Amino acid sequence: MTHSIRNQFTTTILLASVIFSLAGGILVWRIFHVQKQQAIELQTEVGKRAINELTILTHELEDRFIIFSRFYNLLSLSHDQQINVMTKIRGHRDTRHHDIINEVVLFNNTGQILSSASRINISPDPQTYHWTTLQKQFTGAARNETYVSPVDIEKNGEPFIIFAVPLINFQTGEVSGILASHIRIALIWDEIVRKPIGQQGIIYITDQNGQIVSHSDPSLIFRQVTVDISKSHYFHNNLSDKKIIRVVENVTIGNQTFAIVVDRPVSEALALTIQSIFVMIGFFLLLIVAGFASGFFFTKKIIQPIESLAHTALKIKAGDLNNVSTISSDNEFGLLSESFNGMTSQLTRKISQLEETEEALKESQADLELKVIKRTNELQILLKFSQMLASTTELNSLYRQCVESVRDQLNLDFSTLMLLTEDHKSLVIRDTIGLPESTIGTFSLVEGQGLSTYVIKEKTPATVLNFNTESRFEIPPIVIAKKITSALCVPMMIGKDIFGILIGHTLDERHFHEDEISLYQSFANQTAVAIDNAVHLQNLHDSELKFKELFDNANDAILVYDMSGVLLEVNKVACERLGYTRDELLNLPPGKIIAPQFVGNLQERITAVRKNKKEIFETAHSCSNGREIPIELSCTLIEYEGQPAILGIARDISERKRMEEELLKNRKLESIGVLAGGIAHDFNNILAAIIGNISLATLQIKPDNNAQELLLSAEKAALRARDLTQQLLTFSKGGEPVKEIASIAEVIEDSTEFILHGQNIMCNYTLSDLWPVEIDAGQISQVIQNIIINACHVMPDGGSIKIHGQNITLKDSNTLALKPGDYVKISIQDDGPGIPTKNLNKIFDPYFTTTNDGSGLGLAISYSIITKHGGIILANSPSGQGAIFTFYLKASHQETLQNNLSPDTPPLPTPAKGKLLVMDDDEMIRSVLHGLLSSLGYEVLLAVDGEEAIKIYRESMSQEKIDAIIMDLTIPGGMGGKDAVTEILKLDPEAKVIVSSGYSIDPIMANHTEYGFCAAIVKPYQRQDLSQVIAQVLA
Amino acid sequence: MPKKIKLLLLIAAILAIFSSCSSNQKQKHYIIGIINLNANLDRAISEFKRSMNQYGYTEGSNITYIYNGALKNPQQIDQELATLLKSDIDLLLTLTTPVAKRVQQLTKDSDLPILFAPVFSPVSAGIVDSLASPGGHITGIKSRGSTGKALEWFLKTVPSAKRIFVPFHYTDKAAVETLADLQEAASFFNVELIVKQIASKEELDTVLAHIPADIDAIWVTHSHLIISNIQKIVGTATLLKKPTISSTDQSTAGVMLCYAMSQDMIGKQASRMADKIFKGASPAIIPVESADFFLGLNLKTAKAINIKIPDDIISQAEFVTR
Repeated sequence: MTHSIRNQFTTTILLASVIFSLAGGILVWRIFHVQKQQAIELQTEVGKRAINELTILTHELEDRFIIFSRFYNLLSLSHDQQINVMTKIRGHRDTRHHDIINEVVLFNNTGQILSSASRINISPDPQTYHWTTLQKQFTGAARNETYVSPVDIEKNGEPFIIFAVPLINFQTGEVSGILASHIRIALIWDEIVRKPIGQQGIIYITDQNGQIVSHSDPSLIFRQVTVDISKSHYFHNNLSDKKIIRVVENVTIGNQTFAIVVDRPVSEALALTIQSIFVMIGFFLLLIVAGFASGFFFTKKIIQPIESLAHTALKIKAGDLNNVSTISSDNEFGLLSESFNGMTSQLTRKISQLEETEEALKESQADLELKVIKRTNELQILLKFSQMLASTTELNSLYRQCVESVRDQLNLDFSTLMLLTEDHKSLVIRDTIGLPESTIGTFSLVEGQGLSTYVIKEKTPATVLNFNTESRFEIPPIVIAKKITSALCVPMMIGKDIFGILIGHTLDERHFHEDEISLYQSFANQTAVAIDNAVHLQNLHDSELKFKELFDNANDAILVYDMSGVLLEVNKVACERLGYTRDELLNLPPGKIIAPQFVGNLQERITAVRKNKKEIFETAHSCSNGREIPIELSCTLIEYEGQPAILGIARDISERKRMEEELLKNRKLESIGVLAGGIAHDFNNILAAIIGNISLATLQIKPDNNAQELLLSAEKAALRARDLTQQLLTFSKGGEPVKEIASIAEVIEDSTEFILHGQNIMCNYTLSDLWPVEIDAGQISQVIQNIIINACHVMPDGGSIKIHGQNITLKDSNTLALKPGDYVKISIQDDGPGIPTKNLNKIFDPYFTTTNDGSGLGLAISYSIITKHGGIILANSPSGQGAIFTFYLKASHQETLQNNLSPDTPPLPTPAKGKLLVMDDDEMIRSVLHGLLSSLGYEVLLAVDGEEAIKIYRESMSQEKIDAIIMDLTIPGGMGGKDAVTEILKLDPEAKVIVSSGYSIDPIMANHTEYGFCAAIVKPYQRQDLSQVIAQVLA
Repeated sequence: MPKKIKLLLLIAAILAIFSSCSSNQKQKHYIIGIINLNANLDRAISEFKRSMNQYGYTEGSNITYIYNGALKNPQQIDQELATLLKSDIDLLLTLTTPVAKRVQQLTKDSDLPILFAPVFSPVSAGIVDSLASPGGHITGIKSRGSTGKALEWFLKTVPSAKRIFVPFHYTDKAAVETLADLQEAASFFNVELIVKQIASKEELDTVLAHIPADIDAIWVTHSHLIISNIQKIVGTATLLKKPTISSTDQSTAGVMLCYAMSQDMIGKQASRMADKIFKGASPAIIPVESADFFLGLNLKTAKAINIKIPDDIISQAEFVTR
């Protein structure tokens, strides 16, 4: 057998040995080369470093000699000076502070010693310096700059060299002298040769012939030993016949060449190589021993048993099952042999068993094939059934197809489908074939009654072979009636939940096979899933319809945007409001429906929604017709068709905006009103004094006096100021209208005619059949007058005014923000140039005017008056139609009161008589009243406040009683008229008290009788007003 | 034997081969014994140790010095040597000529390297065969050789000097050799020496009491007797307003001008030679080195005797006492 384990094992061992030996040899060879190179590099480095040191020292020496000699110009110095300089030169130390210069000698150009400085000698020995040699070195064409002699040995054994430099006469260029020195070279070299190189390496110096001049062993110098320096980087035998690696580096100092020799024993330099060789040999020997040992062991313990087993196996392979293995060792092979023999005997047994099993398997396979065919058929039936169910989503047709298919596949006489109600208390027959249609309906689950109830309870299929022998439950009457014998019922399951049942009946007795039950159960489960899906689909469809209805019928526009602002869906309101169809909107570019001033915010707002999930913005939509609708857009980040989107609900806030503007305007008016009221009150007091004094002055001068005219003008001006103050008071917060039922038409016509009197302006009235209104006629008259005055201002050359009245009923949803009810709408239209659009929003603002002589208060007051009447005033100016002012006033269906504004006034008594008490905190008023009343003939008493008035009145009661009291309504810091009249009436219920105030619009003034006053007079008043009121009171 | 133990033994054997191949040689630890007879030379020992440290010998790490302090008399040398030899020393450092000479005699049959630092004149003392090739197992530093130069420096300082008074301890070999060197130099410079022999302290006192008035200076020779009475000599010279000169380092003791070895440099030189010996060189082939000499001046003394030393001389002095 060529490929036996034995042969392969032997070959492997031999091959491994050869490969290991080769690899080891290559490794050692490689190590040798690398280490040799490293050793040479190390030694070369050491040699070069030594050369560097020598060169540096030589250059230092040379520099010192040349610099000193040239600096001091030695030859020109006196003898003593020369000695001093040379002593300094001699004192030079090398870098290790060695005193390396023994002696310095100065020669002239004839070789005579001029001076010297020595470490030891008193006078130098000329023989030491070989004058002729020195002279030769520094003369001729090839003269040197420095001279270094060969190494010589002193008597005491110290090596030395002569180092010299020439002293040049720079004028002639000739050598005028020589400065020579005796150098203790050993001090320098010793430092070099003592440097360690590894453990045993040495460095030494030879001359150019290889004679050692410096060595750690000085005897070599004395014996003038010569070494081979002809080659570098090669193996040599050193002085002790050891193999060494020698590296030689040459250095030239002056005219002498020296060799720096670095020797290192091979045993040290290549130590790693030698170690590697030993290790490799060791490994090789180990490998051989291990090879033999393992070969013996492997053959004895493994190969031989394997060969025996192989032999036995071959026999068995040949069919000899009676052959047995004879290995009887107690190791794994013994166990294997025993197992092998056991396996052989078992194999014999198994073969006979297998033959028997094979026969049985053939039979079983035939049976299995039949089953597979049958099962395949069933699966095909189920697949068809499943496809049929999947194609139907309508529930009734689903029920029908189910019961029909089941009946056909299982050859049933009756096929019925029942579903559980949601409360699981009843079963509903959804469809049946065979049973009468009247059975379709609901019946309760009664425990113990009927097969279906039984299956619902057990949640497992059940069959009845013959109902006549059935004892698990009661037999339903219909079964008996229909003469049904057998039945099969299966639960319809979805997961673990029962959903309904499928039940089939046969007239003949029938045993339902397990395959049929399984098939029937599969039908039931698939039907359950299909019905469940159909129900869910139906629910989804219904939900979608509901959502669509809600979406389209919402009051607000609903828009779905993608994250770039493109519309994905809109509701009906959005389409209607924006004036686009749905398709048009969905195809519009982003931002098209946003008002231009908000388009720039689009991306910022999308980012805000993306970040905060929900945001509310105020913006405006731009409709297809160009109209802008202010909206409040509530945005929510949603997922729409699997993508992030924004659901925007846009609420039209046009009306809210308008109301906000109205509110703002009202607040402006209120604030100015408060200011105006305060000013008006003070003005009235002042005007009362002015007018009163004018009246008194008029009385005191003759009628033909020129001053009468001046006083009349002053009085007119004061009265105009009073009117203005009155307007301010009306405008102010306190100017509550004193409303009465009145005919608006009369007020309008009177006021208009009053203004237009003498003007070249025609007025056309359409005011018939208007409902009565509840108004403060005076205030409404101001409104009419202000509007007409404005019309006159814009039509200086004349024109026409149309005043149109209309009864109108406003509903809840009116756009005027008025309460629902009946109103009278009055429109006043001039045919002037109209109001510029830009001014329309400001026209009711206080102090807004376009004319130089206007106060800017007229329309603001009009606005205030109409608003306080619960109405609204609007201004409009259609192009080319002039200005149109429209106001609405609440209608009243009460009868109009008769005008009693002019009661009969008793004639003025001339002169009057009586005793009057005037109470006012303002001294000026008191003084004026005193003058006026006195001029009328009354006796006048004065009081500054309520307390004093009461006191005076009480005192008068016991004497001559005061006829009437004129009281100021408010006394700052004291008792005013309101409290004082109460006290006085307590003293004297018959007392006649007239209230006087600058606050004409004060409710007490309007309803003075309710507070006990018998009359009221508004400051400022004229003399005749005062006279008339007092006369009325005293009458 | 279980299989696991067999496997572990095999791995251990391989590791043992590796470790034997890769182990490094242990670094050598040196021991140096020191014998000194002059406590004034302790500074040279300190410098020796410091310099050895620069050569890579760190005390306590790879070198140990055994030095029990300066001996009080030469009789203690034998005992001290015996003690040191017990410590298996690698080198013996000796200070002063008597120590070197006695040690050389006692260790003739030994190969223990001996380094003297210094000996005044090792050849004439019989310690080495020659300066260039000492032979035996001893080498070191000689301190003789500065006398002529000392006279030369003095004459540069006081050029008018013609007569020098020399108290001479004629039984001291170093003094004899110093006088010989001095006489040679004096002849060269035409200076007259007035030599008075002494052999004891009392004789020294007598000589000092009768110093001729016409002398220009007093020479302090290299002698144990002279050096031990140096204060007396300096005091007398100062009193007489006479300068003192020496070729031994006595400037700190009050001698006005010295040209002599320096203890610091002796320590350095000795350490360099010790390193050579530790590197494998035999003392027999290491030439005896001359000590490096330096100029030392005592300006206090000069001022006391009204001598103005030129600035260029002061600038060249290595040691100046102010």
